[in-house]
Amino acid sequence: MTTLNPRIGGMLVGYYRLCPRKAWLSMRGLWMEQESDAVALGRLLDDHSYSRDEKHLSIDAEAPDGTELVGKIDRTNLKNGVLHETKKGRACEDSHRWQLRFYLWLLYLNGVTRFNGQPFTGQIDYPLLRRTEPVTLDAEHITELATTVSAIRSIAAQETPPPRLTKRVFCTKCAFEELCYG
Amino acid sequence: MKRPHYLFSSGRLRRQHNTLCLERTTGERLPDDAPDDEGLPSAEADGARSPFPVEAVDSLYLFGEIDINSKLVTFLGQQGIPTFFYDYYGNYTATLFPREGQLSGRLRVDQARHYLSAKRRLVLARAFVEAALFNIERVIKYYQPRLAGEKQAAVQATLLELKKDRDALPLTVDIPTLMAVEGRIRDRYYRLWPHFLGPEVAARFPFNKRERRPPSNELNALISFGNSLCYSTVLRQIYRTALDPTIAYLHEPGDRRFSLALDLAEVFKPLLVDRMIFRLLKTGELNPRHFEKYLGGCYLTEAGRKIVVSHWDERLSQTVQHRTMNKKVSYERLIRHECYKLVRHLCDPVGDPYQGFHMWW
Ligand code: SF4
Repeated sequence: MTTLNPRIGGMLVGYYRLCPRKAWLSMRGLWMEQESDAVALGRLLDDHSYSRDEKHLSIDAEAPDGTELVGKIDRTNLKNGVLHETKKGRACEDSHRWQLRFYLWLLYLNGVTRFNGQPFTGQIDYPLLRRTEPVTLDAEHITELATTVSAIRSIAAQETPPPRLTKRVFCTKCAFEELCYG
Repeated sequence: MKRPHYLFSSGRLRRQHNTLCLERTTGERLPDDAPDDEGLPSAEADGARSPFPVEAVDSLYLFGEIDINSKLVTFLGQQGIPTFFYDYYGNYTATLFPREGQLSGRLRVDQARHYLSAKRRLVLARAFVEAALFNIERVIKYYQPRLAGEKQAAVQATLLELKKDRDALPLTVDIPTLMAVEGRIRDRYYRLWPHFLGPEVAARFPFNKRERRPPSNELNALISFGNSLCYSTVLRQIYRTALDPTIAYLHEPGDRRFSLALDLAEVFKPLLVDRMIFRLLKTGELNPRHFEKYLGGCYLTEAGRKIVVSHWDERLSQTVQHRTMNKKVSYERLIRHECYKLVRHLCDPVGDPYQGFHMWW
């Protein structure tokens, strides 16, 4: 009954890497209310940080297992072949990295390269911290992403949510905390 | 920080750039049952304007006679501000809800599924009554140590009876029986109220039994008004989640009301409404002057309503230390958590069954 073939996006991949339950909840449309100042700040950053670049490039592809993949990329610098993703803080760094790798993977699956045939690279921007972090995609990541996408597809078919994380450290920073523990 | 806003004055509420503005009128609001062929405002604007920033508004409560137009409705919709209307007598009459904010088709299907299965519905309905009973017992035990003699004996006896009601809960086989048990619990509980209020207050506010439409005396008027505040508070929390407020379990869904708010309000009434009433009456903040009789019913005056509402608002923002989240949460937030617990149950009734909120302090 559940959507067996969800369209999977970068944020969902990031969520899944952090906590499969979070991915499941958001696939169910159980979004947490966007009410915190943190979220408003995030939106503001997104809207105003780099207004002169090309923004929100949409792209889709098909994963090896047939899953539909969609990406909305924050900001691209086509000339230099760099995808950018803007983030507030480094709390979920690893998930940010996977989100960006996912977009690089979409380009790869579409056969998109830079003018000189080199693959695109990624960069996570933390304007508040005045830092950037480069992200690249290698063969291992590609395998890992394919596995992740299949795993997301199978939890989408699950009737009940995956268990809560055993490590609460993540949870205290997670927007879903009250939904899980309230 | 967004808070509910309660408007007691009459006038015209409008959008003014990106704020809200009440253009006040001086005249008194006329009773809604007074002859009126034109539906025009009862009084002219007197030029007084009270603008207030929309960012600070969580929801609006309109106790006065308020004129609105569709531009305002659109604005409130964009800002996600639910608006609750009250009639001349302080009866809740209508809600203006922004177009649905949160949506989860799948959750709605689950909600309906739990309603359609008699077994699943009963599980949830029982849980609401169980939690209401627990909280009622909590309130009783709070006042018990202050009582002596006959009164103490009455409380003891009631607690024993309530224990029997508790034992009867798992045996209830359908909703009407459950409703009957619930009614019995409330009856027993209300009979103790004169003891809790003490002889002086009880003499000023006599109370025999609960009468709703219309409330027959001051205490009934107060309970009705308090319950309607609780109902709308729960409703505005439900609205912030993906739950459908019309599908309920203890109450019949959808007839006239957002019944899910009635279900959840049961759980919170002892803590939020009943204790507020004792407090307001015992401190003398409310006295018989704050009530008036109309058309065979008894109602709070505007001054009385203001006292209740400001106390209510303050109470909602009181905090307690949360047991599992290791932080302080407000009473109002506890209501939101209750919605989330219900969501968890609907997603996974076996692994994460709903247990209604139990006062833990
Ligand atoms: S609160 Fe914890 S368990 Fe729940 S979704 Fe967030 S990370 Fe996962």
